[in-house]
Amino acid sequence: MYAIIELGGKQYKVEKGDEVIVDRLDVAEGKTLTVSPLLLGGKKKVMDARELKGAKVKAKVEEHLLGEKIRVFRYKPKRGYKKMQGHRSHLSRVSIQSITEAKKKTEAAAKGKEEKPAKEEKAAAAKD
Amino acid sequence: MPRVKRSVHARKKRRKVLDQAKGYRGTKKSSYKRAKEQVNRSLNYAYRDRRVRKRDFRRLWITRINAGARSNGLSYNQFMHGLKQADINLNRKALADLAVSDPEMFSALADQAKAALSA
Repeated sequence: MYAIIELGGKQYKVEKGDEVIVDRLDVAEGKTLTVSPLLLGGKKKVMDARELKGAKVKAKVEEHLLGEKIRVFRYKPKRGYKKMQGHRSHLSRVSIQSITEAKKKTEAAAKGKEEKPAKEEKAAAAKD
Repeated sequence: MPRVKRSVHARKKRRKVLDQAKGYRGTKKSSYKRAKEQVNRSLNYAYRDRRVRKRDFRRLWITRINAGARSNGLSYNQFMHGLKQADINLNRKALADLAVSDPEMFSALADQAKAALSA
């Protein structure tokens, strides 16, 4: 089973046990955070917004680190403009502890309705 | 003031540039003056292309999503609009990845988009 989660404005496809390097998170090293996924995939597919709200992805911030150094050099010919800077982006290494689906209740409710598209239609109609 | 001998530092300065110019063509790898010009330019291109890379990838993802969407009977813009209507907020990077790694899931997403479009 995999989940797509959003961390720091970017989306990552993760499985349990994966480690991803993401933009620096405002969470201390060793702490865990939970996010709701944007999508659950694998044998069971969950993409309905309401069902996803109940689902959780637990992630642990393993460490904060700096990316590889990039030499930022700006230069404009014939204008005497030259500037050299170093840059190392602030990153965090995050490991995925667990991916849990929504509670049984919503699952049963979704199964009871069975016709997913019909439900989507209603949701869309409600929005309009 | 004591006299400054230039040899060591001048060599050092030139070596720095020439080392960066390794693998360049013609005089650009051996002549300090030409190497310096090219190294400046190359680093400048590197700066520009780090930005261009983001656009390039976005284009590639869109192409892949389009291919995936069409094999499910939708055009790219219908597919994206449908997903928005269905309140599925996956970005193009994630979608393109799914189109390749999990076509089944992509089809399911296309079905959702179709349902939302016909609503």
